[in-house]
Formats: sequence, C-alpha cells, structure tokens
Amino acid sequence: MSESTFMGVPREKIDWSPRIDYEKCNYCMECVKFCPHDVYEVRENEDKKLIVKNPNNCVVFCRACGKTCGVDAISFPNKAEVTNKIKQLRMEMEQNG
Amino acid sequence: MSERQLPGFIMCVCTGKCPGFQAMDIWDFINQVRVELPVEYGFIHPQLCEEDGDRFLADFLKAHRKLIIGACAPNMQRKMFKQAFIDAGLDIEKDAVMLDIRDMTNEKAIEVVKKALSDLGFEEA
Ligand code: SF4
Ligand code: SF4
Ligand code: SF4
Repeated sequence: MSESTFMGVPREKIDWSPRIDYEKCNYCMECVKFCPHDVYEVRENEDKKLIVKNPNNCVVFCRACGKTCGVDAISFPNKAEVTNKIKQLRMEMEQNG
Repeated sequence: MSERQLPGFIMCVCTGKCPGFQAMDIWDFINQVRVELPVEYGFIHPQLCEEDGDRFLADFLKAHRKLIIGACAPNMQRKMFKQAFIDAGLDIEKDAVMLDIRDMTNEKAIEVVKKALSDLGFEEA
C-alpha cells in the first residue's frame, strides 16, 4: 500500500509543486507564510533563500501560494497534462494489478 | 433586522489530502458543526480555490445566504473568492466570514467557528 494517494495513484508519482522563478523572487516569504504544509524551506545563508524542499507535500492542484506572490514568481505544472498523467498511471496500475 | 437567516458553513479541506487538516477528524468536525451549531447547513468542499470551486461558488452564491468558510488564510480566501461574490452581487466583506482552521484539533476549530457565529449574533441553543 502506498503511503498517500491522490485520485488513486501514489502521490509521489504526481509532479505537482510550485516552481520559483528566482529572477523575479524578492524573498518576501509570503508564500512560505501561507503554506502550512512544509513544502518550502527557507535558507537564510544561501543565495537561493527559498527552495521547494518537499514537493510531494504540496496539495495536488493547489495554487494558493502562487496567489500570495506579489511579483508572480510562482508557477505550476499544466493541469491538463498532470490530469492525463494521473489517468494513465491509474490505467497502468489496473493492468498490472 | 427583520429576519435572522442562519448562515451556511462550508469547510474547505485542500482536497482532503493535505497535512494542514491532519490534526483534525474532518468528518467529526463537520458533523458537529452542522448538527450542534446554529448554521443552516454545513458541508465539505474538496478544493474551493480550484476551477470547479469557482464554478460551484458561481452557482451556490445565487442563494444569497451569509456564509462562513472554514479553510485557509482569510486574506488568501478574500483574493480567491472575491470575484465570485462580486459576480453574484454580494460583498465578500459583508456576506462571508472567512476562518483559518488549518493545523487545529477539532476542539480548537469548533471554538473558532462558535466564536464567529457568536460574533454574528448566533449562539448555541
Ligand atoms: S500550492 Fe498550496 S500546498 Fe502547494 S506549496 Fe503552495 S500553498 Fe502549499
Ligand atoms: S511570495 Fe513570491 S516573491 Fe515572495 S518569497 Fe514567495 S516566490 Fe518569492
Ligand atoms: S481554499 Fe484554501 S483550504 Fe481550500 S483548497 Fe484552496 S488553499 Fe486549500
């Protein structure tokens, strides 16, 4: 049994998490403040003061932190493509199962 | 005020798969809200800020009932749901109460909802 599934497939097989555009990000940390899921990690002493540490903690299809970002530095994968991938994975699992 | 219409309660649970609601039994919580608290009804929506959530709100807000939304950060909810309220001829500031009930136990979250209801003038029977 998989730890955690989404729409019937293991969460870790679903590529959904925020992408940070470091050209735009000003490290205001609004996104970090919003998300309670420990997706981001703040790294004070590094160049990239913010990384996506636990992508699989991100709620599939959530984009809420992106909406907190004033400079639009956060983007997400294409939902239709991710949905198709989920369907495909589920079919494969059914065939192998 | 002439009539005191009870508010509706929507709980949004981030698809039900998110760690933000791990400390809570969401089913016990929503049952306690809908049965014990002075609301017209209570229910769970999986992801209000997704596209189908927008479509749902567009339909649902036509009822023009005051709403309490238990979900994530209120400033974010305001941003996400504002247009839906405007489209329905409502004002999100006046017609909705937005609560952050993430990372809470059932007891804590119930207190938060009770307080919101009591601020609106609705006390438990
Ligand atoms: S998309 Fe949602 S779950 Fe994912 S990091 Fe942002 S706020 Fe957290
Ligand atoms: S909200 Fe945007 S600008 Fe602020 S830290 Fe997050 S990604 Fe960077
Ligand atoms: S509205 Fe808030 S609680 Fe609901 S799915 Fe979106 S981020 Fe999660």
